[in-house]
Amino acid sequence: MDEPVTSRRRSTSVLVVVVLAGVLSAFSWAVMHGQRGSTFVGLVANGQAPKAPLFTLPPIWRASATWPSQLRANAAHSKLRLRDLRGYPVVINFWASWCGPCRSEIPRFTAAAARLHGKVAFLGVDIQDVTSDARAFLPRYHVNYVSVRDGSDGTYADYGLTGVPETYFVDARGRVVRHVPGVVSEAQLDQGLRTIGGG
Amino acid sequence: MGRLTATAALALLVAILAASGSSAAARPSMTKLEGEIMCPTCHTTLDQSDAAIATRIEAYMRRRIAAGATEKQIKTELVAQFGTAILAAPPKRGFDLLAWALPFAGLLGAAGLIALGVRRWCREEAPEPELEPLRPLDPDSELLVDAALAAFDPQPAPAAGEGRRPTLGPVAPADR
Repeated sequence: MDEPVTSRRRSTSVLVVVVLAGVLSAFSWAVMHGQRGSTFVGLVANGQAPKAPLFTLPPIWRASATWPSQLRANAAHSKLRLRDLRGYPVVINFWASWCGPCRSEIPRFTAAAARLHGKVAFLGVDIQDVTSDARAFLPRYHVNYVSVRDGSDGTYADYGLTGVPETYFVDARGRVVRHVPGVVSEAQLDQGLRTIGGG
Repeated sequence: MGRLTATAALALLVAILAASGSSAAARPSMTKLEGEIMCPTCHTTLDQSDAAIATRIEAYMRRRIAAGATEKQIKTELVAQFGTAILAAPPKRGFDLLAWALPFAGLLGAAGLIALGVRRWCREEAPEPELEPLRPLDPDSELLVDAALAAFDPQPAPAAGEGRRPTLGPVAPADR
C-alpha cells in the first residue's frame, strides 16, 4: 500500500527536476546564443580573425560590374551565398536607407569599388529597412556594387551589430580581419583594404 | 407572442449593427497599428518613437492602407521585411505560442499544486487519534504538581507605593 505511493512521488520529483533542468538549459542556450555577436566582435578586435558568419540572402541590387569576374554570376541568382565569394577579399557594409551616416560613407565605397575594379567584392547588406525605400536609394546614390536584403535581422545578431552603418573586412579565406562600427573614414577604408589584400 | 417577435427583431438588429461595425473596423487604423508595431532600432512601439526608421515604417503603412491593404497583410509584409520582432506582441503560432501559453500553464500548474497541497493537508488532519478521557490524579501526585507549579508563581506582590512592577497575576481594576 505504501510502496506505490512512494515510487509515484519519486517519479513525480524526477519529472519536475528533468523539466526544470530542460527549462534552465534552454534559457542558458538562449543567453549564449544571444551573445554570439559580441563574442564574434571580440574575436575580430583581438586579431583572431574568426570566420565571417555565413548568410544566404536575396540581392536587391545586382550591380556586380566592379566585382571579380568569377564572382559576378553569384549576383544574378535569386539568393546570394557569402560562402560562394571565397577566394576574393570582401568588404561587407551593413546599411539602411534612412541612415544618414550610411549615405555619407557610400561615395567612399563606390570610389574604392571603382578603383579596385575586379579585385575586391564590395557587398552591401540592407538591414532594418523598408525594402521599397532601399530599392529607391541604390540608384540614387549610384551604388556600383551588389546589395542583399536581410529581412529577418539574422545577420544583425550574428555579426554583433549595434546599429548601422558597420563594416567588416573579410579576407580571401572568409575570415574577418577588421571591423569598423560607424562611418568608415578614408584612412580606415584604406587600412582595411590593405589587411585583406585588396589595397 | 408579439413580445417574443419584438425581442427577436431587436436581437437581429443588434446583430446586424455589430456585423457592420466589425466590417468597418477591417480598414486598419493607423493609431492601432502604431501601438502594435515596434520601432526596430529603439525597441519601443512606433507611437513612442520618432526615429528615422519609425517614420519610414509609418509612411509605408500609410501607403499600404491607402492602397487598401488589410491589417493582417500589412503585418505580414512588415514581418517579411524586419522579422517577427517587429510585432509588439509575439504571434500566436509556432515557438512564439509558448510566450502566450506559458503564463497560463504556470497558473494552472500553481493551482494544481495548491489543490494537491490542500488535499494532502486535509487528509493528514483527519485520522487524529482519540484521546483517553481525563482521570483525576491521586492525592500524592496532586501535591507534587501543586508544589512544582508554585515554583513558577510570581513573587508575592510588592507593597503598595513601591512603584509598579509587571505582575503575572490579574491586575486589580483599582490599580489603573
